[in-house]
Amino acid sequence: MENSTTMIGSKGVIKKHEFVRILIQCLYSLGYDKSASCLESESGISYKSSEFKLLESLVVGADWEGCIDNLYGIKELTDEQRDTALFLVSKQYFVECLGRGDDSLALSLLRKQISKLKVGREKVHMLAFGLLSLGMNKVHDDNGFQELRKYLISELEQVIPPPITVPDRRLEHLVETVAASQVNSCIYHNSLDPVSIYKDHRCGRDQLPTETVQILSAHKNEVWFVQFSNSGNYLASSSSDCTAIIWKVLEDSKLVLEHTLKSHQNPVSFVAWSPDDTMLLTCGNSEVLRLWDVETGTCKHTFGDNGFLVSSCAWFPDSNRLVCGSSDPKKGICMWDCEGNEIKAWRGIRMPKISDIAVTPNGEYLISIFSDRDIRILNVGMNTERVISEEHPITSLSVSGDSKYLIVSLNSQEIHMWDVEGCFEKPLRYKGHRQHKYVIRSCFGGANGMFIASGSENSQVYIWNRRMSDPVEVLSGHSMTVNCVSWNPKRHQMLASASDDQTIRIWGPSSEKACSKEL
Amino acid sequence: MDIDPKQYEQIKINDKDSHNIILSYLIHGCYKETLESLVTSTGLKVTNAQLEDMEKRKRILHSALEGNALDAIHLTEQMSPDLLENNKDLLFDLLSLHFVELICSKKQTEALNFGQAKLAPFGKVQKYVGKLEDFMGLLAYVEPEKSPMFHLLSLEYRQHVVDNLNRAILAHAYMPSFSKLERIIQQATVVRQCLSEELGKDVLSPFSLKDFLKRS
Repeated sequence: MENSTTMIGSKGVIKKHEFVRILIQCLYSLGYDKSASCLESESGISYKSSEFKLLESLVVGADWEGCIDNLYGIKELTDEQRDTALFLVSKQYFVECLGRGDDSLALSLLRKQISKLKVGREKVHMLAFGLLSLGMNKVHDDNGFQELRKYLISELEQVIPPPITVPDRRLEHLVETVAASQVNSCIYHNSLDPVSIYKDHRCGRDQLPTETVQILSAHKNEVWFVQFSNSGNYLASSSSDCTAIIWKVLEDSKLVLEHTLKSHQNPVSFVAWSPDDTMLLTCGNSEVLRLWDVETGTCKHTFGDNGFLVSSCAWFPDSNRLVCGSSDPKKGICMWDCEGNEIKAWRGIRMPKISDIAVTPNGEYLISIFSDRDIRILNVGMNTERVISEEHPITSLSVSGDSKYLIVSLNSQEIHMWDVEGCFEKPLRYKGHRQHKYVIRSCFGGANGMFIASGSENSQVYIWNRRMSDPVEVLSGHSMTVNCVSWNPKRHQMLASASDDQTIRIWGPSSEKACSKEL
Repeated sequence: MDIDPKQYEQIKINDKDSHNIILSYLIHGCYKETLESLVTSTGLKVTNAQLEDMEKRKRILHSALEGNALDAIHLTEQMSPDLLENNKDLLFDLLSLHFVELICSKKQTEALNFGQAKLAPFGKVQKYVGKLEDFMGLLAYVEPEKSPMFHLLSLEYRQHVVDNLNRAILAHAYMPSFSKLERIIQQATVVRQCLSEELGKDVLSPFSLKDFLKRS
């Protein structure tokens, strides 16, 4: 028999007999019964404690009074645990009495012992109901009772605390906790794959997009906006050259030009992909809202007349309803369907100038930025709203893929993250980039949306891990202000940036160092 | 805007209406002797058959109220056959009164046997299961009056069941199951509450019958 104070581990804080015991439990739970009992005999350590084995034998032998006395004798139980265990045992005793037709014993058990336990009256009443013999007592034979007794033993195992029992799957839980903790502290962790427990987990920066892999120069003027489609197979960009371009992402991650969308008269500052990626909306600060078919590159609809100036737009998950916000205070927010029918509008003097608008991917919330500094979160279903007021002008709004968080870029050179449901009292802050005068946009990205990327007035792209307020990467390459960034939602290592230098850069991990120019 | 008492004077009430209201109240409550006095004083008509029925009904209700539910059931079946057949809820409530009586007399085993014989069949129907669990639960406690279900032992509960029985017997005989007096008071209360809601809580305080009667 092992000395129960032997320690193992380099720091000597783990008790050997506890360690062996959870190893034995693990072997049993994996189905290796022979190995488990072999380990028990080799180590002299038994998985089930002697106290539990005693209780077990009392249950199997139906010595109910003995069980009850035993439970009263276990000091490690809290009163609540004891009452729960006593109820379980008494219930089995009760059921077996009824099964044998001994109603009066069952009744007296109910009255003298069970009703005194603190287990909630519904449980007591249910047992009393059982006295009516309505078929609850289908078990009459010894075999049936044995099954129930086995089940009782496993239930008792859940109630009685360590060290008399060992919590279920203890070793798995300990390993999982460590692995999860390592992943959480890994600042470059950018994948959804399982991690290996052979080594301590730590990713290198090669997990993130840090090098330019392609430069797209088709635009003839400043590129103001980029966004990947929801499937990650396309990229849309828009420019002060009054066009928008749809690019296709090929298998090998290279992008090629697919369509150029020309018909706007003024710079296009915003595009939005329909959730099913078949349609694209384009608009600009002094421009109307247009709907394009992605496959053919043709304009399917123009919303409103010439005076209708739309600053930004968003889709509902059904890819049929869209909302747009106007910079003209008299127009407010309008909801349309794809045929151009107006469904709803929020107008009037109370609707100030809307500069940005978004819908959470689950369609539950409509978020808008108005009067520069206020974030209005409208619960669409319940028609209730909440307003967060920022102290500095907001230049962009982005929502996370899981619909839980939003980020806003501020002219005070900070990005603030809030939660949509409203539990944060203060925002999480990210800084390091430059933003004073221009509209700079930021976005969520990476596996599980764990990263934030932003453009900057110093021509660099900034990447943060959401857990830290300082950037983990700063990417150089552009020669002028980077206005907007978009992270590919399916290819977590692909990032696109749009700049005043008239180019779009595609960024990838540092092992793919190829950098080619494309039209 | 409170009702101006002077407006009452505009409304004239017929003596005959008043007498009818009281008559219906006395019939409903089985007040046989009082009814006979009233009839003599006012010249209203009441048949012998009506008086006999009232007497029978009175016996039934008193049995039930005194804890003799089985007698009450028997007499009801004599007076209004198939009433309880068609009103299982009421039958259950009456049987449960007997069950409670046995428990109060500390006759647990008898109560259990009665439950198994008479109440168990109801347990096959989902809507009675909850009630049945509550009643059977009384068996679990050595001092049922201190148990969570103690209200099932109370006089209020017995009275409630007896009221239901009364209404059922009256309905079965094609008589009104609510006395006219009850209806009038209910009507007045509902109307005042409606007005209260419409005009807003600040204008009319919630209607209290007690205060109203005190004032007039």
